[in-house]
Amino acid sequence: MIIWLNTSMKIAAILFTVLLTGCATVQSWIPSFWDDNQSAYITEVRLSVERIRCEDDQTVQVARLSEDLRRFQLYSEAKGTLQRDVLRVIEPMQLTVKEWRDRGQGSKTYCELKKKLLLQQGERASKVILGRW
Amino acid sequence: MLEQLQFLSTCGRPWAEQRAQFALEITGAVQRGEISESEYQALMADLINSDKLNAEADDMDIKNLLVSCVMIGAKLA
Repeated sequence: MIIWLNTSMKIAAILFTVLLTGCATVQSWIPSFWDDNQSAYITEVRLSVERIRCEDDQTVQVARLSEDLRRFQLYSEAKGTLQRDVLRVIEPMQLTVKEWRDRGQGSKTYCELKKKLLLQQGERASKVILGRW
Repeated sequence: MLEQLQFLSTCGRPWAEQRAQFALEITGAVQRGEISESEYQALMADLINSDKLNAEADDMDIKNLLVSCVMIGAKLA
């Protein structure tokens, strides 16, 4: 009886701690898991970056890239709150692309440097998104 | 600033070297007049954003490693 009470009190204490710290904290400890669509979408993003030709019209190409990232974001948001970690990973890429999209046509060197940076960002993001369980 | 970037570009830490080399590249481009001042500012801001991406990705890597350990531990038990 005493052992049962001790165990119950321990469980109650854990539950109480969880309630105090809040569900959001607990959720932030849980990683998102493997997802076929997210893996495909991030690969599409990388492909769009790789295909950018700086001598051509940049606005159309950047708009396509922005849409690819938006697709990833919408899908992940719809999937649920556990996807916050992957959304945080792609957010810097979205900021990099947003600035380019707002600017429109930039100089050729600017385009080449942006492309180089986005290739690096895309590689890191896809490595962690495809490396999940 | 240039001296510090040049030092960092050969400091022996790959992550710092990569960023310093990229910053040097951007600085060189603005000095040669290949990019405008606003393009320079935007590219430097992107470089800072890349650090955030890497930090988040490193965090996810650690969580994945923890999940791996738990999975392996559960199979061994």
